[in-house]
Amino acid sequence: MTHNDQPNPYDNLPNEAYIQAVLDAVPGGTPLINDPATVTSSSVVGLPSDAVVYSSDYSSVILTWSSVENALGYAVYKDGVQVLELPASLNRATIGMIDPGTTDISFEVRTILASGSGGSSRLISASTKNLPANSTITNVGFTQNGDTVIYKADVLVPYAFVRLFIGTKQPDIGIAHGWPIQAPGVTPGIDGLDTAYHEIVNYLVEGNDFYSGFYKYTGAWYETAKANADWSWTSIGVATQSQSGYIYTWNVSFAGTDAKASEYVIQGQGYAPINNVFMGSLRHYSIV
Amino acid sequence: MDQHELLHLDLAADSPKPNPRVQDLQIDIKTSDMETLTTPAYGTLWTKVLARWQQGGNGGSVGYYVQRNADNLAYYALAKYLMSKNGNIYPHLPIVSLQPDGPPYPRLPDSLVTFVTEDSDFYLNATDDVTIWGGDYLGCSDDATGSEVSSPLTIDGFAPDSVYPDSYNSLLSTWIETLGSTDEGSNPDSGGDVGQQIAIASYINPLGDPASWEQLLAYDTQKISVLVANVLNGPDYMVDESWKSVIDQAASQGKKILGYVRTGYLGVSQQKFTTRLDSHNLADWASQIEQDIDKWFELYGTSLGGIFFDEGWPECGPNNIYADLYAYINNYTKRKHPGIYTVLNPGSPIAQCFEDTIDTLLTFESSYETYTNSFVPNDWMPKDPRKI
Repeated sequence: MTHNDQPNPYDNLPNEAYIQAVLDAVPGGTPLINDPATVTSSSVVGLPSDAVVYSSDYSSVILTWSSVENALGYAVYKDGVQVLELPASLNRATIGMIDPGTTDISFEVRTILASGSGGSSRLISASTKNLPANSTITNVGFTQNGDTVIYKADVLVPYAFVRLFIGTKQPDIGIAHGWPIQAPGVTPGIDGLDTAYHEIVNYLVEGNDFYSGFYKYTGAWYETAKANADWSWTSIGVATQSQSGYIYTWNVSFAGTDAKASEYVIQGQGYAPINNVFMGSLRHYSIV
Repeated sequence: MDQHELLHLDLAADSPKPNPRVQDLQIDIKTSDMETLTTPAYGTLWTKVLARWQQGGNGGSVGYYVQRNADNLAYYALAKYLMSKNGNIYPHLPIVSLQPDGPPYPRLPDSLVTFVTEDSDFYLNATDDVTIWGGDYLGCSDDATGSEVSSPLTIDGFAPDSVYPDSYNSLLSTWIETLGSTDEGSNPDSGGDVGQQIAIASYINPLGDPASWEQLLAYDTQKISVLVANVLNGPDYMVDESWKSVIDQAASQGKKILGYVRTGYLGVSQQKFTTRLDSHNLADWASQIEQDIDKWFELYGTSLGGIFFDEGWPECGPNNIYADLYAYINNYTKRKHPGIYTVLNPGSPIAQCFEDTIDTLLTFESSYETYTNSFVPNDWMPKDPRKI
């Protein structure tokens, strides 16, 4: 339940009066939890007899096999641990979330039958590709034609969110306003006064192939502010995003903004360690 | 039993709130549709019958009367002792196949003296005249004709199986099977358990807005029983400590926090949603869904109450392929993570072939205006009202 409207009605709670009215309207109880169907079957090793690695990439392996007669389903094992169980109608599995550059992964597909026993187990060896230049996001660049800027990046492992941040013409150190993104690493200084780096951005493109919003930072954070920056953005339109295989493309109109095309960050977050690719000016500041 | 009599210590001096008074309760038990047996709740069978009475209203849980009946506490202690000696096996016999017919009730009036609570202090009220009962002592008198004190509490009904842990229920059904009976003595259709409840799609970051979560967790679990966790459109790859904290708290209260899992309309809707690896293939969707579920449980363990399957495809499909796939994933997941609660959200009416696929189906997700002007219900009625 929510009192809110689209596009994100679930990001905060309705007011107390609203909730109390709904609470008063229901008698209460406990959820319906059904037990799973009971099964008397066994997963038979050696069948299917033709499971193979169909393909693999940086973080995933695809296995395929032929249907086995009277199969109730198929169980997929990775290094001896069951990771999937698929119905008999499917004869392909994609195992994801594997670290890039993993070698000698042992897969096995077993057939679930009402009864019976197979032969000896068939283990299939697989590995994932190494990341080029050790980065999950590569080939980052942009082209500008007047107010239209097209950004591109190869995103080699899947993320929950792939975001494009854009900054403005960089003001002097100490007075920039926007959303700061911390860069890794510090330069050691004297007397324990190290230098750290960040990029400050003011625009964000976030979404997917179907809806992708263009946002402007409305938080209060300034470079010298002591408090944490607040994640606060206002929609100013749309900027189309498309994904084709690894290639992400964003088409952004700068009309009416003070965005500067070369000041940008591509960020991947979720399902893999966060990766920020800093393409703009890194600003430095001293840390104690 | 000495243990039983020791529990009557508060007969002489009642303990301060919130400690309940321990008494000898009496129960009425349905022996048939017509007849009722009234008995003190003594002994293994009658104490087990008492334990199955569910207190409604603000009274709380099944354990309400257990805490108030001396013999229940005594047998509980005995069972715990036995379990410490026999390898932690609960002494399950006798199996309860009888229902209480109304709430248990105390047989005799109040204790001799009571504690008085004033602010944070409490003291023994020794100034009033101490009442001495004539001959009868509270609790273990042979004279069972004491006055029946009617319960001022709201009673909702007989405790259903669903309030017991699934591990207990599955054991129970094994025992009953062994005994060659199908009667579990339960009556899941009665009482407040099937009452309508509230689920909230609580996609609220507990780090950014802890006050909202504090508020959510404070609501009555019987009313707001289900919440949804969404870390990053799914579970992410590592534990988020602020989410873990609210998931653990909710679990300790009996609220179900469900892990958000995209099912992408199985890639067959007009949008042709792809998996994170950019595939429309049904097997790839099935693979991603199952791995996301396992990731939720790997990160948040048994505190997680279940799974919220979003972007559910509502059509049966050729040869029932889509409904069967959801059912298959549901069964596989429930066998792997016993006792979990599952919800499928197509956000629209759904075909009846889905009735036995997933515990609850969410069949409307749109605006208030659409709901009041053009709501389309399912064209079928579920067996259990909590199905939709």
